[in-house]
Amino acid sequence: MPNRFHILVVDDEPVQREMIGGFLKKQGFEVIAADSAERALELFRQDAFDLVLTDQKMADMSGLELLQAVHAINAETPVILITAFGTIEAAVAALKQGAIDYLTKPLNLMSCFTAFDR
Amino acid sequence: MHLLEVKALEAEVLHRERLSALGNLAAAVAHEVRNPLNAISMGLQRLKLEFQPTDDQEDYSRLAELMLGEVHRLNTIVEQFLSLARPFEIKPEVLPLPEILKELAALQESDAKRSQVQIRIITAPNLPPLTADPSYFTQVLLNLMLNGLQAMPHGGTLTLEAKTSSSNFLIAVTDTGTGIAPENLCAHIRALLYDQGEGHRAGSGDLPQDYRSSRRNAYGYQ
Repeated sequence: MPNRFHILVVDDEPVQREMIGGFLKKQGFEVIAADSAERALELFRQDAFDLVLTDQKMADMSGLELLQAVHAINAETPVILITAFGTIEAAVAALKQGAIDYLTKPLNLMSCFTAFDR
Repeated sequence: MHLLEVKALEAEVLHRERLSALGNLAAAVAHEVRNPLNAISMGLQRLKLEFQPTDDQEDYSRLAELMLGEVHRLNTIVEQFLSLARPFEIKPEVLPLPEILKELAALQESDAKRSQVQIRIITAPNLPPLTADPSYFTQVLLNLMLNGLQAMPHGGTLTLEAKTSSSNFLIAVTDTGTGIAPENLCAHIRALLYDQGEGHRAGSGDLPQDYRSSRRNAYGYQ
């Protein structure tokens, strides 16, 4: 795993951002956190990211909608969706729409790395 | 239409509306419970991974592990609640089996990679159309795949195979794990039956009586 891998973490709950963002920073990644999908898109337009890690349910936009918006800007950027209420259909739909993985809460932090390898 | 039939239809519509509302409520509750649960779980994992206590390292790890176990238990309760609150309705449709197997393999790729398991798909040519409810069908296959992965913590091969046998479909999920020793088979089946009974009792306690009845009728185990 190369160092300074640039990750955009998107979640409208501060505790979730702190927990996962802090973990990834300690693992050596460069992490920028956005508190909404709109803010994430602003940041994404300004900077290049190696990965977008987003919650599925947010107030302003769903994770899937954000995935589509991100891919409209750069179709090559890997996006991982995180959900508290996962179904197989939703997971398959996310993969079909271009997500590289679909993680369900409670997250196994170490399993994030396997997802990143994809 | 006869007045009684109209009343029966109205009652059916009302019943469905109540079940749908219950399903939505359960999904909302699951979401609201799982988010703080996720924060607690990630916090505990980080305490274990990132911090070293000045003394009592063993106690520290044991306590963190115990609390993570309790998080897992709470999450299982949420899962059982959700599965009971989802309206049980079978909607069969023609399914593209080879494509479904590929999608399920993709879903499990991360977990398989972590355990150094290779997923292999074998589909016989010219498979006839398969009619099944996509949600329940994929859930069954996914559960079998998860069992297979859990049986191979140190690597192996998980094979998904689909073929026809006379007029039937044969779908096999095979792992290269150690399997269950013949002398332990009965104990496993007893445990499975016991767990299922407990799950239904624990989970259904929060649901309205009429809903529990309809679930049992739908499953045919009343």
